[in-house]
Amino acid sequence: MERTDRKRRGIRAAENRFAWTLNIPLVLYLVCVLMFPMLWGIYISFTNKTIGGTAEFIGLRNYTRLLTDREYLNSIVNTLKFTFFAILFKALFGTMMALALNTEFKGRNLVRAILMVPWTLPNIVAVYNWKWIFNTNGGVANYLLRTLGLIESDLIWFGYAGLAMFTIILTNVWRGTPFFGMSVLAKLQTISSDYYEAAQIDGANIWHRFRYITFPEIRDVLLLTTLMSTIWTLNEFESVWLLTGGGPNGSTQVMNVFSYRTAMMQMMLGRGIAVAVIAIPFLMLIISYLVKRMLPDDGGER
Amino acid sequence: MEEARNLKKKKKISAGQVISRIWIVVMLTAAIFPIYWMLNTSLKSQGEIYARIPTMIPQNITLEAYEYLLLETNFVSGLRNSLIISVFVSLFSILVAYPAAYSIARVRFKGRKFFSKVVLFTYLLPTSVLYIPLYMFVSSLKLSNNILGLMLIYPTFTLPYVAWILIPHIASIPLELEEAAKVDGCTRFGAMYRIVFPLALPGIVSTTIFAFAMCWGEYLYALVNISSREMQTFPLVLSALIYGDMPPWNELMAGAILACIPILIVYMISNSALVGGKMAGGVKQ
Repeated sequence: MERTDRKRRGIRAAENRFAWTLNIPLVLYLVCVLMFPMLWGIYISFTNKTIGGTAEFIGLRNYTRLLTDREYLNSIVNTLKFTFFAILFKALFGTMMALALNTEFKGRNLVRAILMVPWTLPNIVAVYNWKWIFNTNGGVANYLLRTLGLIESDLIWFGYAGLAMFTIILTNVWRGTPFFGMSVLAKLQTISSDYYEAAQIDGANIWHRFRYITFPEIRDVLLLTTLMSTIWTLNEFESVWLLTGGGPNGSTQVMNVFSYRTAMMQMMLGRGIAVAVIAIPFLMLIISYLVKRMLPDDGGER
Repeated sequence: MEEARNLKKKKKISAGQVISRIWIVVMLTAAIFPIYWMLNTSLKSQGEIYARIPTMIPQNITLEAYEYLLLETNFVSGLRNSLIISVFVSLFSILVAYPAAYSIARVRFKGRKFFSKVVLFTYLLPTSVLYIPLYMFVSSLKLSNNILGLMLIYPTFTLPYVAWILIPHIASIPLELEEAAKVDGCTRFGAMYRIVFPLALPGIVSTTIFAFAMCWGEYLYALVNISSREMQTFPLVLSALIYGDMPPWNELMAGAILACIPILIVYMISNSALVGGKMAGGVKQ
C-alpha cells in the first residue's frame, strides 16, 4: 500500500521485473505443456486424425457427425442426468453434514476427520469398493437389502439402466459430499451465535433460523462449491468407466466415456477431441463466472 | 440406540439437535461401512468372499490376498512407479508454483490480475478436456508408455492447484516481518525464501500433500499413456485384476487398502497440529 503511494518509476519497473522473473517457470510450463497441446488438439478436431494415422483437414465434419450421432446426444443427456442428481445430493447431504458438525458435541473433531475420509481416498479405491459392494456375486448390498426384507431376490445392479445410474451417482455422492460439507462448515463457523440467540428469543423455530439466518450466509459458498463441483462432475470419467463401462446399452455412457471410446478404442482422435471442444464453451461459462466471483477486485495492478 | 438416549434427555436437547445426532450416526455409518467392508474382504480367502451369505467378520482371517498381491503380481512395482511420480510432481509443483503464488500475493505488478486469473482458470479446467491433446503431446515426444511422460503432464493439474491454494496462505503472513528483514539488508529473494517460506510452511506442507494425493490416484492419464506392465502405476495394476466373472476381490481390496495407507498417513500429518486442519479450498475430484 505505502509502496504504490510513492510511484517512482524505477521501483515499479524493478517490481515488474521481479514479479515476471518469479512467474517465468510457471508460464513456460503452462504455455508448453498446457496451452500448446490444447491449441494443437483444437486444430486436430478439424481433421480426421486417427491413432497412428495422418491428419487431413476435414473442416467441421467431426462436429456435424457428432451432432447427428444419437449415441453422442444420448451421452450428453446421461451426463446431465448424472450431474444433476449427483450435485443435488452432494449439496443437500454436504449442507446437512456441515449443519450437524456445527453443533457442539463430544468427539466432534474425530467425527469430522472420519467424515472426511471418503474424500481423501483415491477415487479408484472408492470406485472398486462400491463395485464390489454392488456386485451380483457375493456383493454385500444385495445381502443387506435381502436381510432387511426390502428385496426378495438379488438385484443385478449393473444390468439395468436405472440401477446402474443409481450406483454411479451414489459413488460420486459418497466421495464428493465431504467437499461440500467442509466448504459450508468453514462458512458456518464464521456466523456469530448472537444472531441465533436473538432469533430464539424472538421465538423463531429451527426452520426459520435456517431460512433467515443460516441460508443467506451460506448461499454464496454453496453456489461456488456447487459450480466447482459441477465442472468436475460433468467431466467425470473413471468412476463411470470402471463401474459400468457406460452400460448397460449405453444407459450410463457419459460424455467422457463416449469420448474415450471414440478416441482410444475406435482410435478417432479428431472426433474424440471434438467432444471436448463442444463442451468447452459451456465449461467456460461456468469457469468465467467462478473466476469473476472468486477473484474480488482488490484494487491491485492489472 | 442413539435415538433412545437422546429422547431421554429431551428436556435439554432440542429437536434440531436430535435430528443432527441421527444424521451424524447415518453419515458415520455410510463413511465407515464401505471402508470396513474393504478391510473385511481383503482378509478373506477367495472361497469365502463368494459365500452366499457374506460374513460380517471373516471366518478365517488370512493374509493370502496380500501375499499373492505382493509376491505374484506387479503391484509393488506399480506402487513404486506411483510413488516416484507423485513425489517428483508434488515437489516440482511447489518449486515452480511457490514463486508465482508469492508474486501474486505480495508484489504489485503489471499483469498481477491476469496471472491470478490464469492460475484459477487452469485450476478449474477439468483434466478430461486435455487428455487426448496430452496423449498426442506425450507420444510426439516419444514418452508414451513411460512414467517420464506422466511426470511431464501431471503438473498441468497440480501446478495451478498449488499456486491457487498458496496465494491466500502467503497473503496472510504479516508484511511487517518481511519489511523488517529488508531493512536489515535482506534481498527480495532472501525475504521470499528465508522469511515467508518458513512461515507459510504449514500451508505449503498441506498443499504439497494434496498435490501428492492428486497424482497418487490418477487414472485417466495413466490409462491412455501407459501400456506395459513395468510402467503401470498402481491404479492400472488394480484395474488389471478385474477379469472374468469371478475377479479376485480379496486381492483387489487388499491392494486398495495398501494404496490408502500412504494417503491416510499424509492426511493425518496434514490434519495434525502443524497444519491446523486447513482443509477448505478443495482438490480436483
